Amino acid sequence: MSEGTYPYVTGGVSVWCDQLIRGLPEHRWEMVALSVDGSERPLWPAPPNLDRLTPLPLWGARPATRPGAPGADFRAAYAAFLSAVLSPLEPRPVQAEARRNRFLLALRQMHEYAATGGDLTGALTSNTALTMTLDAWHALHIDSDERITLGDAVGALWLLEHMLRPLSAPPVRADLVHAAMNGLSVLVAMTARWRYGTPSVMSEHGMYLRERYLGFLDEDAPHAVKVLVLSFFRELTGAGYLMVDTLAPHSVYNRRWQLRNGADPDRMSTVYNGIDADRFRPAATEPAAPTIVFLGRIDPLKDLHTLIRAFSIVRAKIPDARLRMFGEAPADGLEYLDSCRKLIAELGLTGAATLEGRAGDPAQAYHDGSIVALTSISEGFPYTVVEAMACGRPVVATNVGGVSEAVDRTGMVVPPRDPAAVARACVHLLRDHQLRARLGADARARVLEHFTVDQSLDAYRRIYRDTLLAAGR
Amino acid sequence: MTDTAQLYYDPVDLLVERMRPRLGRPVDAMQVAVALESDGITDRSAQTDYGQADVFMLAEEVWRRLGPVPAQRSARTARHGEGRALRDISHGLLYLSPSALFPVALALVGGRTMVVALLAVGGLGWVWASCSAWLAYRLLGRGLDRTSGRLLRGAALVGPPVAAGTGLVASPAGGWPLVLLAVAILAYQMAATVALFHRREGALLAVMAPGVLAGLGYVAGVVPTGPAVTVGGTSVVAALAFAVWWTTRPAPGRPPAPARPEPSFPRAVRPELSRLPVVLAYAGLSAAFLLHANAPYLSGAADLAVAAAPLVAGMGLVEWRAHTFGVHARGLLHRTGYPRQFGAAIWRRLIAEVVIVTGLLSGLAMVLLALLSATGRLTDAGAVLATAHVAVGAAYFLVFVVANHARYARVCAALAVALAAHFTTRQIGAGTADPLQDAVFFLGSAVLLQVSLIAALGGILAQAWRYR
Repeated sequence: MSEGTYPYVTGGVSVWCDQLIRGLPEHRWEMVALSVDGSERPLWPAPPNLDRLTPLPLWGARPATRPGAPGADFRAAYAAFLSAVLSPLEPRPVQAEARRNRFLLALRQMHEYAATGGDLTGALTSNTALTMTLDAWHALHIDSDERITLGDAVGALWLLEHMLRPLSAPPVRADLVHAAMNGLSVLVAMTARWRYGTPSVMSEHGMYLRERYLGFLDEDAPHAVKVLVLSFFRELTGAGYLMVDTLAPHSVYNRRWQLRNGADPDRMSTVYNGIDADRFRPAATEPAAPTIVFLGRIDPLKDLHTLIRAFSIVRAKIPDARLRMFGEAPADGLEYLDSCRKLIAELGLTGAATLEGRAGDPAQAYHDGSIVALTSISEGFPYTVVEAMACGRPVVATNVGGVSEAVDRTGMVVPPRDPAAVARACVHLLRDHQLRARLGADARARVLEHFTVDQSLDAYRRIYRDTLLAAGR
Repeated sequence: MTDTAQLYYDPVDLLVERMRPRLGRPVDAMQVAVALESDGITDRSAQTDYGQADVFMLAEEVWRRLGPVPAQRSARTARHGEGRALRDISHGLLYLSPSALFPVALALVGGRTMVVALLAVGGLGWVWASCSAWLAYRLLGRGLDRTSGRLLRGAALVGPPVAAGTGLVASPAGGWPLVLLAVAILAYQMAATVALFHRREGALLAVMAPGVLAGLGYVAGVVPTGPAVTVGGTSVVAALAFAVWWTTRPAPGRPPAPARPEPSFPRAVRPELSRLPVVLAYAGLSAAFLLHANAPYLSGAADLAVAAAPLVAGMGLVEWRAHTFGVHARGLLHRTGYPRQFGAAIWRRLIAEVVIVTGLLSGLAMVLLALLSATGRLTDAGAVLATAHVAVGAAYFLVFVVANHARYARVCAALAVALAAHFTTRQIGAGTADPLQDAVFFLGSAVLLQVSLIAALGGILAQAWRYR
């Protein structure tokens, strides 16, 4: 299962899903994709061993609802849900785990309410649920200096209703469920476990909870809505770690966040993303002009503004330098793409810094650069870094997520949101041919040693086998 | 010692002040940890620079020292702009303006053809324009801006020939005058629909002004038939041409359509088709309810023929109040603490709005009745029929409220009941031979429509989530 990725969009998680399905032909697959409204079209050709694609739209039309107030079953489940969500962050591990258990139980009760004919959508948006939410908020004195309004409760419950729709979907039947990430897609794994006892594996590329928190920092939503929604994500993430049989973080950095949120270290097994080293061969030559390449989604999380500003400093020191940015903006990210274009024009970089759209051949895109840059403010274990390394290109990247684990000493890792630091590293590398060549060769060797697709696939084969054995299947 | 104390700054305090603008009002220490990491702080720097075990511990300390952050509640309820109000109110003029050309059209095509055109083509145009607008808004809501424009353009260009065919089917003897009149009626209906969609009401009124003046000049006897028809026809053709051009422009508040591909027209429209029949029924029943009531009197006594004028002119007022009601409801959501308070307040407001709408339309009706009375043309039947249209206007306010909750089936049921009631009473009573009795029946059916719609709002109106 995945949310908002394969097979409808490009990006690291989609690459990984495609790689995993094609790379394990001995397994038959069904893909459950949490999508926007169900009108999305797959961008990836279906692998031969993918038997079925099941879209599960979260934001489509409201399902048909029945009139009338929700019954006692729902009220009991929702009261437990609110008790977990509205309590302040619990730093004591034992108490935090007890709360995650309560939350997981509340989710199960809601699923059973829906599975036995209850109208979960209608119940979650009913005046009854709103009143319960307001009562719970006031009873817990969560925020004495800002009262919650009915509008805040409506806004939060509207979001929660959409996000909890997987609880009303028929559970999937499979030998094993593999979630590509934590969060809402884990609800699908939960229902399969509750109904059929299906064991589950969870990978995490980026940190789901971290990205939700980050997204809401700049969100102009009422504080009460932020509290309700982010606390829901926090508890859901913890419940996900609690429920899965095996957790496969994609970096040590991820592992650190997972442990903080209640993951059991005995059920964790780190699996790095792997790439096909034959596809990403070392470049034979360098571009004529000193060139920085970016390859990835055009998205605020990639903080391309920092990269463009850094390039303006680079350009002042190396006048013939170029910045080539490959990648597309998601459908809802055209505004950010436009802001990048405007910044390029404002800084007088038109022609020198270019947004080139999707790279037809990613390996060639890396070869087109002297160095590769990634200035994200949040990452998991980015493919673009590992691919660039395999191509023998030194990387300048920000110290977020698993980036420093990937790069180690084969590139330069700088603080995020710091154009001057990015520029210093780029100038240093662009001016030193020998250093570039040495780091590039080291990078390629590091990929071959740790980050090949075969290593990754073998690790998953072992995890599947062990998980099924432990579950007695 | 004092100097040393003044020079010492706790690095965590400095960090708190540095991060305060970025953090705003975090929800918990975990969110602080996220912000610190995205600012470049690592476990190592948490240890070496701030003396904390890791970023999470540092975040808890920053969270503690941030202290209570004052609540900053952004203004949520957008002010109901005067521009929007004026645009809404101007819709009445848009709906009324073609009637200035009816007398000259009547002289040109004759009474029977005129009635056929107004009933058959007017009814078709009502449904055609309503469904086109509904579909266009649905497509726009899904981000399919170009497809939405294509739909309106297609409907504006295909509609007039369809109207001509419909007119000829309804009255084969109508000939070219009927064809031209049918084309003009539907062309104007689509032009008005596009103008509303693109918020070009002022422009359409300006384009139609010469035609309206020519029509009024004809009535006043200062403009001969030929020039009045030519100017009126030219205005309608120009209105359609402008409308077609507007459909090639971005919808209001939308950027120029991006190069992002949109699905083919059939694929884009397919998801909406399941709901289209009920929208079609809603438009059809609306047209039937009003046209059925007025058809017998269109070419008769003046006070009966113009009895619907206050409703048509005041329809913009009705739309304005319906929009204001929605704005008020959303504002109320942020001013009330609990659903039960919201429920009581929203029902009070609904009843108040029905009274306001009735008052506004009554004012317009009083002007008309005073004019008719002054010229000695007002009968009891005319007065009651005008009153019935005021009641219909108030009912339409309720129709808009129910339709805004996408409960078209309930609207259809209420309209069907009202239509059936008027139809049945007309059959049982003296029919149109006694206009006063018929007008009383129509007034009764309008009141019944109001009551049905209020009943239709039961269980819907007070559901707070609907006003998100």
